[in-house]
Amino acid sequence: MALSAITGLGMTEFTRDYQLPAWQLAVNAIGMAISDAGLEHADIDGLLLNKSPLAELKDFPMELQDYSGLSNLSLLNVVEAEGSSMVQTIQQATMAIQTGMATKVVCVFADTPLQENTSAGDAFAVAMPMMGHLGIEVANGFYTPIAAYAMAAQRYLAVHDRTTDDLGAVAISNRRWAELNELAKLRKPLTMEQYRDAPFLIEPLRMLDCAYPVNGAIAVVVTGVEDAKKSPQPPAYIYGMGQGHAGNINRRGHQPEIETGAKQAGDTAYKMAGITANDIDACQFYDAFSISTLINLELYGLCEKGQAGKFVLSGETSPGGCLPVNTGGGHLSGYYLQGATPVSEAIMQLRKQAGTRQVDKLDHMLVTGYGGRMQFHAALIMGQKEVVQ
Amino acid sequence: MKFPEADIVWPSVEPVAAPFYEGMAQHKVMIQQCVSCSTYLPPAQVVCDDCGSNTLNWVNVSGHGKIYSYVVYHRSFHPAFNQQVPYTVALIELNEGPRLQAQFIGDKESCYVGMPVEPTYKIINDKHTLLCYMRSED
Repeated sequence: MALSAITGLGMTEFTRDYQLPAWQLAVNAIGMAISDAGLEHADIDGLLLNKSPLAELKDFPMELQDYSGLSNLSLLNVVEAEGSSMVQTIQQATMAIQTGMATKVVCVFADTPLQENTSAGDAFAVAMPMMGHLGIEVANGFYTPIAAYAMAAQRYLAVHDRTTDDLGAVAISNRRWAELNELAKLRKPLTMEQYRDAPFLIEPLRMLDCAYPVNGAIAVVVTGVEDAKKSPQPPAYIYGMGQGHAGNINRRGHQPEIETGAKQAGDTAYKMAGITANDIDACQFYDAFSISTLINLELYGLCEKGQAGKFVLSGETSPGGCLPVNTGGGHLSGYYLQGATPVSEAIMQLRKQAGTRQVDKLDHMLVTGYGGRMQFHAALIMGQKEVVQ
Repeated sequence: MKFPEADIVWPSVEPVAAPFYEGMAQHKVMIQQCVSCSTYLPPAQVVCDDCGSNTLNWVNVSGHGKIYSYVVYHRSFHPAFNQQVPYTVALIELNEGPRLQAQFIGDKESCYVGMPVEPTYKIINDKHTLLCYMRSED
């Protein structure tokens, strides 16, 4: 039984150069999402803002309400849970709709990591917190999120005695989907030989293991199930929601790099939806780095521990496989708009508007977000029918 | 974003982390221990993540441990590290249990998860000494 539905999707153009500030991209996406849902601005009574961790609050302020011409809100907030925020906005919208606090909620993400004279690499080249208030990372030269994920990847590959081919398999699976997606940015076929020949950036990760940043905005409209029936677009229903935040315990007996809160997020969402991991037909994972797809496949219960690489290498997550994953090319080959990327692809697939990459059976799709160093997790179970038999 | 020109980068040390930095200047490894349950904790904590107690002591340990994970920078992301590439940053699991992040000094090809390591100190200038790690014969 569905809890809510996404009935509107608005996406700006995704660019590799700076055109408009994030707030203006957000306003454009909000307008497109409201039209797509067949609604007027006056119908919207909730607005939840997913600010990029890179952006200042002044670049993505509460005043987006005014910039977007929304004056009838009974719900307004900036949701700050790093990369899990977009999924969390949809969860908060659903809870607000269930309790009657709001009926039609817009959730929006926008970011402009690519500025004039600033590459994406520079934009993300901040010291990566790992040791809390110790602050030693800057002196050790531990810069960029790539490093934190390289640390997780090295640990994962060592614990399970696997090679970087497992990571390459994820990059190739994403690329095969991207070849079928006109919105995707990296669409040239990728082979394992090409992957192996690519130089390391922060070993064991290569550039091909990293997200491909763009400037852009994505907004969605979340409504109640009855309102969704009046929508001009096929509703994308939500059956289950969960979060997991396992903390960062840096001592023996704990492995926060590879034993994340994804398991708790998944277990909660599956239980709410009345399903198990075996019922999942496809996944849209937040995949800022290849390693996170392997870990998520395992912690969301879709592969045994250490076996995700073999599963991806065998082609099961690629077009034609038994568990399609990141069917638009994901963050690696599609477009990196943080938690909004998996949500946007989920909606296009559930509406059967995914063209040649359309997946046939989608009774239950897992849609996730995570943030920080894979510390903060949020998950949705979505599908095409109000009630799945 | 433009980085400031700098030969070294050093954190602005928070009071909760000061004993670690003072120890490091004297070539000592300082971590914390819960008074209530005796669990050893990484430096700069205020609450024991095992029992919840907020009474913690600082303790001087040998600093010996094993590599838990590591990464090798093949590109610099900060001008202060341009001359160091390639360099290795590791998470060291101390014999007492807590993990510390530090640079690994030595051949990166020799580095592996589980490798025994011991402290070594990089004198950066008159004011700054950085705790690093090297292979141990243990």
